[in-house]
Amino acid sequence: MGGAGFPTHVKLRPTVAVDTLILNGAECEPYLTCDDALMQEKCAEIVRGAKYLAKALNVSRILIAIEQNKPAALALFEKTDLDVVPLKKKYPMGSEKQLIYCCTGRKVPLGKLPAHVGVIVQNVATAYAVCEAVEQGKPLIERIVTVTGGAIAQPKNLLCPVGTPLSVLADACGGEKDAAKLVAGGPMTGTALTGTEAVVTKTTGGFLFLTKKETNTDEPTPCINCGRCADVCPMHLMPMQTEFYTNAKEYENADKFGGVLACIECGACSYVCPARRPLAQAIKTAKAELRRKS
Amino acid sequence: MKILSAAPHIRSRRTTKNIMLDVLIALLPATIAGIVYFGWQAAVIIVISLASACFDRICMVHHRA
Repeated sequence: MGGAGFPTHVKLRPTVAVDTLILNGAECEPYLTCDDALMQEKCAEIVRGAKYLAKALNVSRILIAIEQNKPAALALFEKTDLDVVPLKKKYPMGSEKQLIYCCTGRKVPLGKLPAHVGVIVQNVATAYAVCEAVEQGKPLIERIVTVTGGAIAQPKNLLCPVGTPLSVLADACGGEKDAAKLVAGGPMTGTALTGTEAVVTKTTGGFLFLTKKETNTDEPTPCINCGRCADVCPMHLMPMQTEFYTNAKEYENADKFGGVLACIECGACSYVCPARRPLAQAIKTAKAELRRKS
Repeated sequence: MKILSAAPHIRSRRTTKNIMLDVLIALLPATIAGIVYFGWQAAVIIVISLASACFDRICMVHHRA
């Protein structure tokens, strides 16, 4: 139920022994609040779902990781018998590798799954869905979606069936006004949409109606070598190098000097770039080219 | 028509322009102190270097275009 949509049944059948289940309650991106809303509304169901997941995995240690900017959810879960891990409010905390490192101090090697360090991460929404499936036999047919952005009249979290068109959600939130950009997902990793024909899928955390002021419309200017992109990269890559070599179509060098395959595509490099260079886009291009060749 | 581009869709407020403005503000005390201590010759050097730097940039822009 997280943004990446890795199948839960695969996660629940790890090939190696695991000892810890982490529930991911760190909202993956700014703007989105669907997990926070779910944690506040359905605390008991999430806890029961977590126990079913732990039983399926045969682990006894269940952690629930929640960012500190969600005091209501933190207070609720502290009353339950799960181990609550309060996290610093920092992007990309919801990313699996970063979350595991913050909760357990274990680092997931490149190209390996979390199970190799004995950890399985599941989203809180997954735990809730599992609870419903086990207790009521209900398949995954609905989810909570955040509809927000500066161009929407009343931002809301809506529980809606998978397949609901965006136009219906927009009407339920008082309609849009002067949206310059529509995004499916969060502002850091989401996909831009052409119109409101898009529908809710199982992995849609939200829809954003961004005004022109909120979104980036600046043209890129030359790199000033400030190094901010490398500073913020959670995987310790050098996005400026990757972009340089990608523009020259030297994708092997882009990986060698900048790092491409380890990129988690969080978008932090593009976000901080004062020259507004499309760094994350360049890394994605290089990644696609390298995969196509291999 | 909506804007279409790759993620991320939001950017930090820090731009090259406002970083460079900070640089200029940071240089201001040194500039003033230079003129106070070394007199009009320091001011002349500053003006000449600014003019040559601007001239160089203008030439580069025209050369590229």
